[in-house]
Amino acid sequence: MRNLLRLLGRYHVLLLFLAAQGFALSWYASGHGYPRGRWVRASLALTGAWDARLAGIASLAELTEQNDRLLAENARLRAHPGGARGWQVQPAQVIRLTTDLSHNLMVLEKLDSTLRWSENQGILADGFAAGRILDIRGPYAIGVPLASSGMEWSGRVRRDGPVGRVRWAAGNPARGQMFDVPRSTSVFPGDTLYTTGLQGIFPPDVPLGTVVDQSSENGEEFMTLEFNFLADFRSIRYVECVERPDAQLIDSLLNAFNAMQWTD
Amino acid sequence: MDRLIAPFLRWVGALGVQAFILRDAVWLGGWVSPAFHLYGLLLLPLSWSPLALLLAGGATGVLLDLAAAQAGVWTSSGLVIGALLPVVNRLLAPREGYETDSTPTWKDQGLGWFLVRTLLLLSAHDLWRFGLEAGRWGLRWQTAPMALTSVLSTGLLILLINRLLTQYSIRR
Repeated sequence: MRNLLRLLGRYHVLLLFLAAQGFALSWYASGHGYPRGRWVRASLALTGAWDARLAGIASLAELTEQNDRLLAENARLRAHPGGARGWQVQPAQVIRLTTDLSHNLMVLEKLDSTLRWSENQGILADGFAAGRILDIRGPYAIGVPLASSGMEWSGRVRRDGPVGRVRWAAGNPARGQMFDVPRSTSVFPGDTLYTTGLQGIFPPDVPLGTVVDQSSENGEEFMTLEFNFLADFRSIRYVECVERPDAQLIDSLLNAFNAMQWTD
Repeated sequence: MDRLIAPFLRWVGALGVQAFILRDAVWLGGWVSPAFHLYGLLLLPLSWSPLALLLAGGATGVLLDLAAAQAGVWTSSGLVIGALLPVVNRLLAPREGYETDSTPTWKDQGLGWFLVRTLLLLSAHDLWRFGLEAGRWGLRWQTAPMALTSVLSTGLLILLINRLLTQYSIRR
């Protein structure tokens, strides 16, 4: 403190000169049009840049929340009536998910409590086939993703190609395999695989994956396609659950079929 | 007492002339704009402290700004000359220093000393003043020739008045 006072005492004339000069120049700037305009412009530019920086930081902080809201909004928009070829669609949030097990699962929570869950509903993620519901408890449902062992799905090569069996290539959550594709099928890497709709889980022609490779044994009639799932299971946060509006009617028809006594 | 009153009267007189007679004196398209009030500042005693000289320069500028409605131009340039006065005095001081009762006049210090000191301080003052009045940095150096012609006009005026007053006092 004493040193500071000594320093101020030593340079008091210079400090007084600077302070008085500051007063004089501000008086000058406030009294003349051009410097006042320059000062106002510089001040506005400075405060504007500062405000923009603050707003940028604030928007960064809100980005996660905005992204979450956007994903939920997208899921709701996709669930709009008629959004999936006349199938009923309802949005749900993924609250549990495993991707590194052999039997993976996802637990879903309804976003709209007025909509009805049912078993065997298909699960879409960003419009791509992602899995199916297995069981329901109130507003929650447990589902199994395409990337899970022990499940088999049906798929089609392009929209007009043959049907094959689809399984997960265990170990890699992004990779699947399609079996029993006739060897005569013309298929190339990059071709899209679609759902068939034959299982009653997904609507037909929902994109499922893109072909990466093909393989076949010598002399075999069929080949196997390696493909990447289009649904990104590692980053799923919101999904849409789909169901035919007349699913119960079809189920009762199937039950009647199963109850039939066959003479052979 | 006379050593304090005479400089004060000179300072008031020069300030009065500038404020009431030469307030709006801008001639020859801006090439001549005398600042006669500096005569009072230049003749302030050599024994005054730097702080007193700075305050005198600032006060001169404030009063002139209030009289001429120049809003800070005279104050700022008055502070510059007030801050430079002790520096220039020290630079031009003889090896043995100034005598206690010597004044910063032509008669006491010689014509060379008086001319160099006057032109140096007037140049600093007017370059600063014209630069400020130009209003923008790019025009600052374009106004320098006008500032220097005004320095010459003010210097001539100060020499003339100083000569007249000196002769008058000798005659008395």
